[in-house]
Amino acid sequence: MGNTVGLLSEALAQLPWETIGVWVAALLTLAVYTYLAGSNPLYLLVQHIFVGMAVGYAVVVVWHSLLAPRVAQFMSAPTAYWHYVVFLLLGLALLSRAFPRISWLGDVPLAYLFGVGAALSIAGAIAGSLIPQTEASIAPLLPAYYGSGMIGVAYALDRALVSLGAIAVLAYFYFGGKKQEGVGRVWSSIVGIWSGAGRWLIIVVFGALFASVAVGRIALLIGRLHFLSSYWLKLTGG
Amino acid sequence: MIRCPDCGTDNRDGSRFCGSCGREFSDMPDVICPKCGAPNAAQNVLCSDCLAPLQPPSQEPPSQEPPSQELPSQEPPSQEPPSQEPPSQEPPSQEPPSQEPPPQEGDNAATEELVEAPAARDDDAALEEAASETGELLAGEDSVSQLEGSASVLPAGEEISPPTEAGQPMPEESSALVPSVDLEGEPREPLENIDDVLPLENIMALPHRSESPLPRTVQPEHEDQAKLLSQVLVLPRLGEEDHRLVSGARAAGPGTALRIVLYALLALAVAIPLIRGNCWFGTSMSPRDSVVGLFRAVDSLPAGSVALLSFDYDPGTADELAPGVAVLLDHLLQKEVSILAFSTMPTGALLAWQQLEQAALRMGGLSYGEDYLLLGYLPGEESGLRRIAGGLALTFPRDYIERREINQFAVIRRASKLSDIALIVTIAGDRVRVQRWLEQIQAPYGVPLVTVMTAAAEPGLSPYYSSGQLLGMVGGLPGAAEYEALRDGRGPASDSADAQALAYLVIIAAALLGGISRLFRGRTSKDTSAHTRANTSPNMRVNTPTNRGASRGAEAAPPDSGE
Repeated sequence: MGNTVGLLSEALAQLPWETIGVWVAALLTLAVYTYLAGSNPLYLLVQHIFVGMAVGYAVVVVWHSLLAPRVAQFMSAPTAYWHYVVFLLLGLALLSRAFPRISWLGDVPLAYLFGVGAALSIAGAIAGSLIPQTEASIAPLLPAYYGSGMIGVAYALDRALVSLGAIAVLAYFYFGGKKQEGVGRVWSSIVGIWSGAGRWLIIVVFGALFASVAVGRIALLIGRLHFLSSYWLKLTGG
Repeated sequence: MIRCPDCGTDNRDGSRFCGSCGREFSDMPDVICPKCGAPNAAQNVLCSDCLAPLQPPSQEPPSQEPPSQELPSQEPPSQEPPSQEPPSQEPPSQEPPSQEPPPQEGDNAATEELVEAPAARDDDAALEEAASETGELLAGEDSVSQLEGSASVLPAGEEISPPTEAGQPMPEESSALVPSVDLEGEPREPLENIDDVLPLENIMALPHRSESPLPRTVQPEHEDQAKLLSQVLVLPRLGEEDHRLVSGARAAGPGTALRIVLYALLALAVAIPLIRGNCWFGTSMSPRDSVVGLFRAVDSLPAGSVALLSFDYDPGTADELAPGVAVLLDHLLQKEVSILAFSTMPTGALLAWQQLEQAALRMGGLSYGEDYLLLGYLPGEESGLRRIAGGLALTFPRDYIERREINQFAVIRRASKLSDIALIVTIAGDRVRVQRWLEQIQAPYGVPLVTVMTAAAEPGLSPYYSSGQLLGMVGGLPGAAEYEALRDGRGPASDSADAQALAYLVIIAAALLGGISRLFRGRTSKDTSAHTRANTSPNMRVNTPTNRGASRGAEAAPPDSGE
């Protein structure tokens, strides 16, 4: 038995795994592109393989990189790492969500997770986004502040556009959705024009975001074709 | 809203005829509310005084009566407790204005028996009998229109019968709205109460079970929402045409040929620069300030310093980020900067290892553990990043490749804590992950931060570069090509940028040609669109958000009428 396993593993080790891997990857890539002709079983098969492999790989990585080292630490020095037991119990309590009668046990770790997550997110957003971005939008508009000549003018103009754009977008969100009452016609017109400009700015931003996503998709196509031309076609003599 | 007594279609207020079957509304008699006795217009669905549901008048034109109209099946079975039983089909003037159900007589006898049987007998045989009777009773065509007329018995989601099985002919739409019988705590569906069979399903998302049963009745003010829910849950069976559209299958025709031509052009535009290898557009690129910022941040690092690289992307964006990462790693290693790498995504650690291995092969003479080290996967999102500040050895007990304690590696002896890190580079597939680094690490600890990211993330992160929080950034393939050009070189990134630029030209040309063609088609195009709309299956119209409202009025039509 032992000899059989040994021979088998030796034979497997001698297989050209790299070549096999390239062939499998190439065929799976082509199978994905069969979707261009419509949904078909081959495409669906690859889709399922991808999802399954991603989940399986994630499980292995979590065990290999996260759980196993902690277990080893605890087993080697239980008194030093006694607090790992607490985290283990909290993790097990999460699994209780699958059993309705004891699902309340899962509330404790969930509350902890949500609480910590919310605290870190809110504090981080204030310190890392809200305040710095607000400060950055308040900038002098004097060209001399940025440099001499046209460079200073260009920078000042850029800052002015950023500030005006920020105000316009805020005006759109604040004034765009409701009819202004009790204000003069002139003021109402100014607010209307201003919020309209903000609306157009938002449209432009959404357009840029969409175009960026399209750029990314083209990049993925390039990556796949690069793989096929650089690895697979070379293997096939192309 | 006016409900047609013949077909059950909802028509807008003031309609003279039913938009579905042509029934005239002006000849309908008044209806007396069975609850308060107030007279109501025949078109009313609810009493204008007490909001009680009204029954349509019983005198229907004989020619439009289905044969089953005389059977007890025309009576809607009640989903409510007996105290909230809807009024019967008897002429309203003969009904006592009471909420109590009338005695079991005439047409109501079967329904009353159906409701009372489970509670009274508590017998399995009785339940089966009741269920079978329910199916028979609800087979009539008008039963659902009457059910809808009695708004207070509109069922909760779980009580709505599922659509017919695939391959079975679609029954009349009315039968799709048939609710099951309320059996007071008894299982009403074959798969109900078997959650424990699959205990691991939805571990995190499994909601608490309600301590008290949900209310079975629908208040008048929630009637519209309840109807909408029932329409959403009980969609008509898709026709073959709809299945073809939903599944992505496409019919052969001129459009298919044009599509194939476009695919071929796009593939050629991408493939030619990759195969030819000449840089057409890359040489004319002027690197943006943000790319120059990243170049300078790396170039200014002293030899022997340590950079922390976070590979926060998965295979879905690896092809877009790989050229930029390759240029960055070459630059860092050329400057003799040691690299500590990890990922906040499970699949990112392997991608990091692939990149590091390839860079080590390109550079040559590098040593794992001294020039570069892979720390592995860091879970926890925000809290995980904060944990780095407590020390790398606490965060990553062992490395990812050799599984040794990281204190044994030379690079960790030079940089064991966050303050020893000269530069952090986050390589991200989306904007949020870079923001997380900015908010959790850069802002509180002030470590210099740059990013290599996808093009889709670039617009959202530009303000952080403008504010100085990011020292530099490289976005997508164009950014990688610019970075490559700054390093006086031309390589895969530039070739990829060429391919991308040619692909843009093809897309822009196709869009322009399509627009011009549309302009010239003019009226023909409008006629075609109108024709297409007219011939679209009503089943499909129900499923599309844009015409969902319009489709409601056509629901009573037979599902296959448009195919």
